[in-house]
Amino acid sequence: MVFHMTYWGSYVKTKRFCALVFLVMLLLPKESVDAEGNNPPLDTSAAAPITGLWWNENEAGWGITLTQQVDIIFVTMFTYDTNGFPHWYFASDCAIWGDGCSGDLFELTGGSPPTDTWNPQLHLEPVGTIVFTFTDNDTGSVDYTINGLPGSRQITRQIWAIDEDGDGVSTRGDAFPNDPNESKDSDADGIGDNSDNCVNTSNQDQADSDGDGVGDACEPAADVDGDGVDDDSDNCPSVSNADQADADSDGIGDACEPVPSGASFAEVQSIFNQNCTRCHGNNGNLTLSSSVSFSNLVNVPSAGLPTLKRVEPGNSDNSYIIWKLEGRPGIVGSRMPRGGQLSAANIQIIASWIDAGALP
Amino acid sequence: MNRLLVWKWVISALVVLTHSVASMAEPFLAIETGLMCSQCHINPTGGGLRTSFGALFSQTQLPARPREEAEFWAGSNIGFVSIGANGRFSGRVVDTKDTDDNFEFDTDRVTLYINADVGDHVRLYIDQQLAPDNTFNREAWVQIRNENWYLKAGKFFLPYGLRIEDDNAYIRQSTGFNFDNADDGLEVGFENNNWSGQLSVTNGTSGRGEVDDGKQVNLRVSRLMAKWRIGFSASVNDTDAGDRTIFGIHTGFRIGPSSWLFEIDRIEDDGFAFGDLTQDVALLETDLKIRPGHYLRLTAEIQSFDLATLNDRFRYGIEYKYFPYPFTELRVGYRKLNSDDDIAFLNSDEFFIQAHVFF
Repeated sequence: MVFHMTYWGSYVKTKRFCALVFLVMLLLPKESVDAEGNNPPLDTSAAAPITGLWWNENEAGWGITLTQQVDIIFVTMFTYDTNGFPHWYFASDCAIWGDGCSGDLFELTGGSPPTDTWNPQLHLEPVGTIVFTFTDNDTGSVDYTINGLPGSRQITRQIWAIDEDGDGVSTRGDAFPNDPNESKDSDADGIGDNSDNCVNTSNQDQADSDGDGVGDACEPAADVDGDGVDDDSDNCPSVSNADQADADSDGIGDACEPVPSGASFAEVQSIFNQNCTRCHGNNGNLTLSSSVSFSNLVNVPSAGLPTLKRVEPGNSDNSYIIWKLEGRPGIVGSRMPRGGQLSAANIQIIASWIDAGALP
Repeated sequence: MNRLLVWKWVISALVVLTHSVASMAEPFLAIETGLMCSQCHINPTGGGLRTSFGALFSQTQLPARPREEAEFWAGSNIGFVSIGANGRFSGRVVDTKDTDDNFEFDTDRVTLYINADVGDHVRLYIDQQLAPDNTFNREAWVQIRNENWYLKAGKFFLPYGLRIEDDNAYIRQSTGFNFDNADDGLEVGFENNNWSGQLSVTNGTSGRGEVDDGKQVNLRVSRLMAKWRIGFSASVNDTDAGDRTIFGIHTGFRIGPSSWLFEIDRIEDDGFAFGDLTQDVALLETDLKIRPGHYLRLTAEIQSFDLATLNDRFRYGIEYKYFPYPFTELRVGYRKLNSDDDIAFLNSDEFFIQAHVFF
């Protein structure tokens, strides 16, 4: 039991001690204040954190410009006299000490307007002193005497531009204020320039059919036939024709002017009937009667020159029937038809049927 | 001895005397009789207008029912001009896969022959096709000749191989040496009892106008015996499109009542823009004489290529030939074409009947 009471007494003492420690901790200065209650010393490295435009946000119309170089701050103060006339004072040697700086305050007069030749009659007049105390890099206070009159103000860094996403572009000018990777949308298509596959051409769908990373909407003009004329304006996109000749001015270059639509096989058979089937009837050689002529001609090796087909669809020049009708060198046997020639027009009809694919 | 027997004796005597006998329209008759082409035809290389001997042969030796009149017709001669003709008329069915059978009557060919013997050594000959369709000239040549030699100039069928009637036979169709293709040029020929030879130089354009500087040269040499013959043929045609060289052998012999013909040729196309090609074509034919005026013909043909895309082609035929009367022939036959190439007409069947009248 004694032991128990001793233990309880120790417990009560310990509890009180802990409460005391907690209270002390609450009273301890925050990180921005050192153990002695002072603000942290100003950084005098090249970072110059104090540099900037300072003001009292409740007193718009005057301000202080602080420009720090290492441990010296150049102070320029824009303010007014008792008559409301503007004055500017400066302290060119506000030496940093601890969490602030102090220096003499001057007023310079006698200059000439910037619109005239610089011909000053300068007069430097000491007007007092100025002392800054900074709570942190954005807040502080300033105490001064000007022409024997003391003054003091709370000041803060004047912020006129913020960068919420930290991308280096102010929120006001950032097309994507919450996207640290984007800040600009040149073509206003909702896709940031850094990820837009057409930066200057609106293409919300970002279509890229060839997968080359360049959107279809801004794919560089192609020149498939390599004739130096972009396909978009080439009157023969797939046939090289650098001269773009278009004799009939139909917008289709001469080089790729479509072959006149092919004759029908009925027209061809009509020619056979009038000129050929009297000999090329059912004679067991080349029958050109209507029921079998097509199968006897199309894709059938010729008897005279078996390396040539009688009719090679799409290629009248390599079709032996044209060779025979035109009597070209190398044919075996007579030019057809015997005893008379087909007119050039009829040969052209047959050739056009072949060139159009020799369809039944 | 009646007149018929007299004429038979006369003909037999001529055979013995000349050791050469004419062929009719087809060389199997030359093999059967052992005669030369020129015995029955004006043209030394065969075919066309018949000589008086040929006319007599057609009346006495060939038909099933020989002419028994007191006098035989010895050809249509008006002074030094003789005239002859050929007409072939047929009905034909070609059964081609995937197409309707097509039965058709055809006037295959009607030709008129005119020959003028201008003196003993000069001959003018014309072969004009009258039907079907347009009339056009097949041959027109002048010949200067002596006993064994001749020089022919003009448009004529080129000397090569067996001059068989079937222009669609591979050996005639693929070589191009058939009754559809004559050419302009010169031909020198020689004939004696056992040798026959021709050398020709022509434009190589099958009768069209000359279109290049190349010429076609043909040579045919045959050794002729009573029961057999053998020959060699060659042709070179130089054209701007390419060159074609053809060479081969032909032979014929007689075994009992059957006559056999065989020809094999190689065709080489070289320098053509669409590729070179070598073909081999061959024909084997036998004609069995069943009795006078009745013949059974069997043929087998092959055509092969050195190109993988072209398969061998085969053509078989069976035909019954009947010469009922003088100057008259009736034929009925069947031909089958076969090939691994999936081309309809190369795998077709043909049935035909034909009437052939000639003088």
